Amino acid sequence: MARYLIGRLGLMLLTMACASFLVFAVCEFTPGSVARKSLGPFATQQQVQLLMEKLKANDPLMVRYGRWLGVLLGLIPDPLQDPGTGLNFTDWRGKQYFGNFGYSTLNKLPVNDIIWERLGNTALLGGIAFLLIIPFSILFGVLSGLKEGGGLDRSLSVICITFTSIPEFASGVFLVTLFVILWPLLPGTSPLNTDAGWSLPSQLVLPVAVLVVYDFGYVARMIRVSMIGVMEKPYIRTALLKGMSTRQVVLGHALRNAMIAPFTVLLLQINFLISGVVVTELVFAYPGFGRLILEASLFGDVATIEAATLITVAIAVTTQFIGDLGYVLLDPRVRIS
Amino acid sequence: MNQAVAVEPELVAVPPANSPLLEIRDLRIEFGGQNESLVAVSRLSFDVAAGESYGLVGESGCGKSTTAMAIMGHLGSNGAVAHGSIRFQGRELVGASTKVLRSIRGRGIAMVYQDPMSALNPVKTIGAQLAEVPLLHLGVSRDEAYDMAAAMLKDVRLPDPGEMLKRYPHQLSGGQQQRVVIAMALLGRPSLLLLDEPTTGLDVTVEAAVIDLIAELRRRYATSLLFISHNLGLIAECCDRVGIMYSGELVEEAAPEALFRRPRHPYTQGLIDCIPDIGAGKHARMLAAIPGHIPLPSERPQGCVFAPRCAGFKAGACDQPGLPLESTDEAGHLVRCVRWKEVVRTQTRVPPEPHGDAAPASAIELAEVSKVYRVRHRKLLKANEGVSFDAGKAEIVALVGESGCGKSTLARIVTGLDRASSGEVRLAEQNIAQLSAHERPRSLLQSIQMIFQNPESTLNPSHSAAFSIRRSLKNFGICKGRTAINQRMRELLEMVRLSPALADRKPEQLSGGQKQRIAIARAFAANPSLIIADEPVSALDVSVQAAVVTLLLDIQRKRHTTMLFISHDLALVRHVADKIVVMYLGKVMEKGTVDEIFGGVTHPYTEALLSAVRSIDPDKRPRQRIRLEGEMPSPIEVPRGCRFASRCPRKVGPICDREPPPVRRLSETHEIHCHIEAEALGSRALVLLDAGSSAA
Amino acid sequence: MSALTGSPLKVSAAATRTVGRRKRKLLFRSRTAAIGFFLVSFWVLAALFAPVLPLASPTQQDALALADPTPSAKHVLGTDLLGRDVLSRLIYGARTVLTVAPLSVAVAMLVGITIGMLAGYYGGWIDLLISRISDILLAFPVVVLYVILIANIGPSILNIVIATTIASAPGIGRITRSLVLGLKQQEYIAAAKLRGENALYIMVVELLPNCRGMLIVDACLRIGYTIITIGILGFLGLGLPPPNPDWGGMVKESTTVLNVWPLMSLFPAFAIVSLVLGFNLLADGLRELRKP
Repeated sequence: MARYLIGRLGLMLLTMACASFLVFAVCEFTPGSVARKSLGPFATQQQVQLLMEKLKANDPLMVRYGRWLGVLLGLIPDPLQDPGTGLNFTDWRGKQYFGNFGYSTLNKLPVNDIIWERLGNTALLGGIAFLLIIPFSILFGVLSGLKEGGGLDRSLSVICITFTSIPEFASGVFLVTLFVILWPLLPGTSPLNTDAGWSLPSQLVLPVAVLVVYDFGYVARMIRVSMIGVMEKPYIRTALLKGMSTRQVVLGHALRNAMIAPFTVLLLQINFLISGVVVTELVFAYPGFGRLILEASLFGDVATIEAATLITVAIAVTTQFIGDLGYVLLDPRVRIS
Repeated sequence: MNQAVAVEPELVAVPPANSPLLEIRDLRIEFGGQNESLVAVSRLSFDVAAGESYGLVGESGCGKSTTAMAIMGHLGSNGAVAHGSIRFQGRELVGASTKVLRSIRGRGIAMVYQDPMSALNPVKTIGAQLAEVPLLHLGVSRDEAYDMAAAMLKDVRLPDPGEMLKRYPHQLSGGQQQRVVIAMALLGRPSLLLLDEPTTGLDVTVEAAVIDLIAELRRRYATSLLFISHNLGLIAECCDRVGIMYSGELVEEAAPEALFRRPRHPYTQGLIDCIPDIGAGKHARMLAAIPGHIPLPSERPQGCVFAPRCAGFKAGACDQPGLPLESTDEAGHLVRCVRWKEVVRTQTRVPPEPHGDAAPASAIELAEVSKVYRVRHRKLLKANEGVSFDAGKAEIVALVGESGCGKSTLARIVTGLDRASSGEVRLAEQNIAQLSAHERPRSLLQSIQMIFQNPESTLNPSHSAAFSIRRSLKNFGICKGRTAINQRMRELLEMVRLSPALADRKPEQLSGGQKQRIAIARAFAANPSLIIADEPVSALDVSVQAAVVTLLLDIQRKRHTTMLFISHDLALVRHVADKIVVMYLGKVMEKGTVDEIFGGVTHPYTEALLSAVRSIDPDKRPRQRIRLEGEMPSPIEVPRGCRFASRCPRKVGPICDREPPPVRRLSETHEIHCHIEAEALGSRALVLLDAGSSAA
Repeated sequence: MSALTGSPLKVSAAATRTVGRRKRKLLFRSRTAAIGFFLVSFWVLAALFAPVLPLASPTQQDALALADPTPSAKHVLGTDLLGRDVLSRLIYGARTVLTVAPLSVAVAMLVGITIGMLAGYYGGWIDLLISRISDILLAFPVVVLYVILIANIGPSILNIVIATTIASAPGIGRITRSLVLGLKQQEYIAAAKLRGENALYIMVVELLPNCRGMLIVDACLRIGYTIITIGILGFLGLGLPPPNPDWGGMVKESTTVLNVWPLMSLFPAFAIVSLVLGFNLLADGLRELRKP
């Protein structure tokens, strides 16, 4: 068991390393952008050259990657924070520590100052959405899967398919038109401060609604398929012919089997809710993780992109792992082989 | 026609003594939506008395399983009882409310299913699934329910009931699972037990044990049985009365002995002639086949459903609608045939051409073939170990054994789908044991072909039925050019008695028998010298089996093809084979000619297999049933000594567990691997078969 | 043992001899498939016949309409902030979307089916390698992948195709792989090996046709999803460069004036939803039809 866990941990680190290297390669294809970005567009070419030399920005890709990795692991101090560069980049945590993601050239702050707060905001948004998606999708999925092709199935399925066809920006626009412009019940933006007079919870309603609307339909469809598969199985017939009522059969026999496969799907939604919500955050001006990635990508802020990548991949691998673990726990056929 | 009226009948506590437990009258079951309506059961009437065991026999499409579902009220959303009544203990079940049905299910009538693995919920413990029954119907507490479950597990002879309650279905073997299903059915103390093919898919010895168990429990709990099966021999031995169904109707009903000795309906007669006789080999009797095929519900003729296939058909009499079930001269023997008095039973016991006695040259030899797989945790799975036998030219050698004996693995090694771990397979002086199929030269591939077991997966559903035949002809260069290939393909189809029009149909439009014939044509298309037939007919109906086997033997004889015939059906093997190799857990237990194996001096395992055979002929039944206790050991942890020792009823002593058994040569062809001395093997009284019929 | 206990309905399936003629009617047997097909066809036809339809130019700015960009006789759906006709931009935008999305998915399918087939058929280290790499790629939420890629390599049709392939191929590969793992055990595959067919033949001729059904359904779903993604990219400002009318971009540009002229955003949003809905319904209908 311990061996298995260590194996998975190793796999996770390997995945993170590969992913971070790939992203580094894509972003750092043209060296020197860091220097240019740090100094801003008004610096002269000479200043940029000087900084590039200081940062050793012309070294080969692998070396630069190694250096970034070294900074991250706390093995070497961040060259950008060296007072010799004249940039005045300071980090109150020090120049060299484990988990040093470096300096954000976009925000002119250490990455660690920004990224965790943004992550927290998105986690709040995603968390509430997740808590709503679970019951809705299970309800819709189980009810429609009970009797395939039945009236309930048809109507619920139509709702689910329609909702999965509405991208976030579309539903954002619809909902804002409805609840901000036509009936001004809710705020049109959610900057997470009370400057405009809207309470924090009210700022969360629309973004959460957009996420839930888009995502629950997909999960519900997965649960539906699983449920239909289970209801066709012979052991359901056995239970019915033992004299159990449909309700008893569904709750006592079908549900557990039907949820095994969708469990992983449900968990994977966490990935989407953390990193894929950039559109929603953009529509509502929400200070979240997704927007951070977008802004960093557009600007070319390597340090932030890398940090975000690592966190995203770590979350993804962790959810995959929990999913596999869940499989083992839920399905005795896997547990006891 | 009046529909069944949906009323709540009064509760009848105890039915009057004379009235039957289950009464079915004029039952008509239809499936389908608005457009097409399919009649699964057109007219069915029979009774099951209290304490009686009634067997319902028929081939596919006869409606026997549908009848069972109708009794339980579980026909699905598009099935319905269109007409007729089903009365259980005096209460009408057709149109009864769900509440009434639920009170009867599991309590009045309980069911045992065909595939126990899928009938059990894989994520719930055995104990939980068992305890549901008394909790539901008997109003006991949870602890009491579990106690009852444990007690019932003991009754069904499962070891260590306390432990078993906590296990999950996938941890049990097939036989154990079926016992659990039986326990689950009996926990509700039902008056009627409905068994739908309960032993199909189980090994022969396991089947024997389960059938014995059912008989014993039935006596103990005084339960009536409605036993549904396609296996006439099984039903004949277990049931007090037998009903033969054909294409939605009951065509004959009688006590088993009367049915066998004096079958009145031509279909019953044909069916009995189709069944291979364990007492006679192929040189004594040819398996008769019923001409034609089972009609689709849309093809059923007016009048007698069997008419298109009946030699005794008479226009004007047999095509009148509404033919009744009549009494015959015997009491309790009913038949639905207008001409039953006149129809003469055509004895199809035509002896085929005599065979030559000269010992043929060896076509293929296996020497010490072993196949070992590496599995997790550094364990070894020994699928085959030290298997040796040979087959002469144009001989049919049968590989007999139950699941896990390694016969299929052996087949894969010979054909090249797998490589042997060690040992030799010599074909024409060449050792091919280590050559996998893609390493073999074309000529070698051509000389060894295979007929597979499952007609549903033997043809690619995306291509036409004859597609693989054409490819075979092309690949092996037997024909060149489209016209030649098509011509040859037509000839092959005619050889297997199929209309060439079927060539371009999709496999889903063909029946199981037709698909298997195409598989035979495909195998012979390459003109191989050796054919491996892996359970080629076990998935087919009895009457179709007979036709296909006869065909196969015919072709094999004409072309002098050597054949390795894998089967678990000993009666079939008796009919088909020249030599037999008996395997158990990867090793050869015995080998010899067919006469020697059935001759009475055999390995204890062979004895057990023979004693498990169920025959419809009362004279051919084994005089003693040998019951094997325990389970087959896992191939990952094979016993050190004799593989069969843990279950052998004739175990000599600790030596059987310690040392591998020596080879006893009883004749040049007959070998037995056993610690029992050769003389002791033979001196045991012939308990198995009637002495007169064992001689060919 | 299915021959013995097969349901009666299976028998009636065998009774149908006129399968060919039925296939054409098959599509319309499912209402969902029919509606989906109708929606998709509408846009396809609109996109195809765009040049011959009586539409205003999608790029011409009508200065007169700037004061009141709401729907009028001249501009049936109104104009955008630069005075360009919305209806025309929607239809011309459909041309882009309906070229790029199916193309991307087709390429992704090609790559995905190949790797899935190889992984499933050969197993062993090939499977391990492909599955590991797929897992790494699947660990990225799709949007992040797109954003990072497009932001760095620039938006163009080729790059969108590449990004879609990288994002979708692992998923397709996984589906193909699990299908192949199941089909590999079928006896007709063993029969093919025994007549000397090589691996490539088996994969393409024997295995692939049997995966067709599920993969077609998946392809429809993916086209729908890719259309959403193209819309998102447009919305984020990473869409195809200016002259191309970009539905997502249209929505984005109009959000600034949402409180005054909501229709300007709603029309392109509706367009996207209708097209994606069409593909989703089509996929669902096809899935329904595959069941016997």
